[in-house]
Amino acid sequence: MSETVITVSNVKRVYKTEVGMFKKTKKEVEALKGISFSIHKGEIFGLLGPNGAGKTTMIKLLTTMLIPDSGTISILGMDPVTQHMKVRPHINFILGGERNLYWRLSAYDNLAYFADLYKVPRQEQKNRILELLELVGLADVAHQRVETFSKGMKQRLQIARGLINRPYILFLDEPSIGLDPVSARKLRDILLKLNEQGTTILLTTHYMYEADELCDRIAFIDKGELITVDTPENMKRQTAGVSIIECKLTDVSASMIEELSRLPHVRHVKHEQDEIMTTVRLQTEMPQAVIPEIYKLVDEMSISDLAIMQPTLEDVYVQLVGGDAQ
Amino acid sequence: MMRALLHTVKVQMGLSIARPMFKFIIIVNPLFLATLAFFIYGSSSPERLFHYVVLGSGFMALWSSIVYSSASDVQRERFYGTLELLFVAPVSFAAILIGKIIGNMVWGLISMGIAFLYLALLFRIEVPAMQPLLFFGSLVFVLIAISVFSFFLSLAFTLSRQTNALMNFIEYPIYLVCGFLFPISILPDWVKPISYLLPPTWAIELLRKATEANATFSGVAMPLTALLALVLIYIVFGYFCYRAVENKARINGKLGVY
Amino acid sequence: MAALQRFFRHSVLSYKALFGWLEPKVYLFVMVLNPLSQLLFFAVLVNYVYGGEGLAGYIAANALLLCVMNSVFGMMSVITSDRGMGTLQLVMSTPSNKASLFISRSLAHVVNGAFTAVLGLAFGILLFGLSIPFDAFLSLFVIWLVSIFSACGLGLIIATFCLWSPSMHLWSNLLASLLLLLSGANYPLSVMPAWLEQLAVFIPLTRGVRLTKDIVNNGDYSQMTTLLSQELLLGCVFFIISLLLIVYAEYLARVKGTMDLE
Repeated sequence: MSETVITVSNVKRVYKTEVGMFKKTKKEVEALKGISFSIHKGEIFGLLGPNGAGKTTMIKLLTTMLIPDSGTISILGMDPVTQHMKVRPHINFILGGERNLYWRLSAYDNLAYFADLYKVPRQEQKNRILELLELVGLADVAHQRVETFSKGMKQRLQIARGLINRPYILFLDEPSIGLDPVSARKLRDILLKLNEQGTTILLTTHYMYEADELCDRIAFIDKGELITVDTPENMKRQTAGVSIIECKLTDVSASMIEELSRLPHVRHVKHEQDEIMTTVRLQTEMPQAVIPEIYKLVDEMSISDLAIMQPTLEDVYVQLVGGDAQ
Repeated sequence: MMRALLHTVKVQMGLSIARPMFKFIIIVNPLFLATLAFFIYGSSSPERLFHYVVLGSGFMALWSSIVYSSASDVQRERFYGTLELLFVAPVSFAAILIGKIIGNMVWGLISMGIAFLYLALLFRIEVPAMQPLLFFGSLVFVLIAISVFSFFLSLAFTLSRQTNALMNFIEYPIYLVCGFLFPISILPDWVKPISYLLPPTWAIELLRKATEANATFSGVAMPLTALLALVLIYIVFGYFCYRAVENKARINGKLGVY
Repeated sequence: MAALQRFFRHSVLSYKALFGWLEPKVYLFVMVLNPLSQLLFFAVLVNYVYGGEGLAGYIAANALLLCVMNSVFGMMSVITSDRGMGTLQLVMSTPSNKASLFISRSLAHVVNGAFTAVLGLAFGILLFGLSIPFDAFLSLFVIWLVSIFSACGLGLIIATFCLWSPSMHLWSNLLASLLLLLSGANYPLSVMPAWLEQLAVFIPLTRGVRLTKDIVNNGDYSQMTTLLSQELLLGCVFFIISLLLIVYAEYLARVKGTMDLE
């Protein structure tokens, strides 16, 4: 568990964009402001953060698709900037969504095509493709065109594509985006199975429970900066002694949320709204003191549920990245 | 009603020309067609040059603009998923379509004008003396006839799943069968009946007759009558297509799906 | 040997994946009927205008011009279609050799273009009852392959433009029109103004069309070696330029971060 396969030290990346045709104004966006971390062999490592935090930039840097402005990266002891052609055979990456496949080809042909691009010897190709289709549960539709597949099937085919060169390290950018719960479950099972077989995995995700279930370690990044790296267990321990009061409210205004967050002993408030009600989560060390205050503030009739629970990874995330600031 | 129509015309003209491909069709394509026709006919008599190079390439430009606007609009709206939105708008679908077609006709006319100016200025093709009333009267009538025909095509395409394939196929065969760049008398006899059933054949014939040296009203009577009859027939066809489209949309609910 | 097999396999699979006109009905319309109607139109036209003079040469030259469908629109798909599907960045980050990758992708279009052209010629011969000496066919076929290769090279250059410019339809149609106009398939080159004739020298197919006419009409092979090697050289230059442009695009994406291959 101690062998390091990826080392990132003090990596910075700025995007320069020119706006306007004639009066060119140069705009610089600091996507990464100096990030360092390392990933061990056989780990599942999660990269979490809000949109625009720099997750995709990080994945691009690690997969040789982009070069850092400063800082160094080492992948399997190689430099992806200068030795990208040597690195590429040993890694692969998968992007979320339905694209990034040839829809007019069959599942089998998609894999055969990329097998050739990764120079997999012909005699190995057939067995490996069948094996991978079996792994992702697409063996019976191997010769159907991808355009007839559901989202989940396409996503699983992407996984198979990403494994065609038996990579030591697999990168996944938002792999479960847009998947229904059953498909997302299948995807997680595949990733866990792969990890058992020894593949190191780095993934980005928006879904906290996914990260909690899958990842050995997690890095939170926000606005191009690394906030923390640790195991999910340790992270949750940071909130030791903290409880979560979750209440479901049928009628709530922005100002009321504001007032709730100003109650004594409340550390953070996060709210989520669906069609019927608003779920408000308050972090506090003294739930018994806070609950009566809630009843004073909010009309009793509009509280449809109220419970005290243990913090989840999401609450840690809220505490670190900031509450309702999205 | 009138305002909705004018508004559609304006919007349509703006939308069309915003597409780079349409800019190409309206501005660059006529130059290309005119050059091609001029190089081929280079050493012919002035009248032949005018009839086949100026009118011919101008008409080809007009036709291309129709193929890439009216006829393909339906396909595009379907692609963007806006076809059904148009269909359920309170203004009738027909009014929207007519508005679109008028908008496209204006662009087609501009395209024709570009071909003409280019040939007259750059290649110094002589414009024969003609009676303005006869020529412009014919031109207006021709534009109306072509509008009706493209209205029919647009609706017929709405009914087909293979719009794209059909669209690709509609350019050269029409150039060929309707005699844009040569008289249809040189075509094999079995093709001619097809030519006679297509309005563009008579439209270009009408323009040629109207620009002949001693053009008279009786000279243009034949193509004019034929064109008028065809326009009426295509209006009837168009009406039935329209009803079929409406059925498909409202009863089968299948307009946007495929 | 394995590399060669991979090269051809790649050629076939990428054609299927990116061009997608293999559906029988669509293929029939787009790749057979449409080119044939174009050929027929120009054949009837030049037959009328020139009173049948040099008709065989014009028809053969027009048949060659049918390859524009592949060498322009097909070659565009090699890059634009890949990008549209979001697979270009995946392909670019594989350890495969990019030059051989794009050349193998082009190969399918050279072959398909040649097929369409041959089909067009057969159609023209049957319809207009032309007689072309049998020994001319082999030379014609070689000339056509080289000319189409060269046209595909220019097609690939224009396709790489689409990594920078969003107006792919504009570029492809412009190129298609230019090839039809400047190659001189439907008139002697001498009718063009001198400056256009000068420009035509740098355009693929011009030499192919000229050789086709020379051979079919006069059995004249005297220019073949010179013009054919020039056309081949032109094609190689086009391919080198386009591969350099691809490398530059990759540099912009990787180092500068100013281009998104997705």
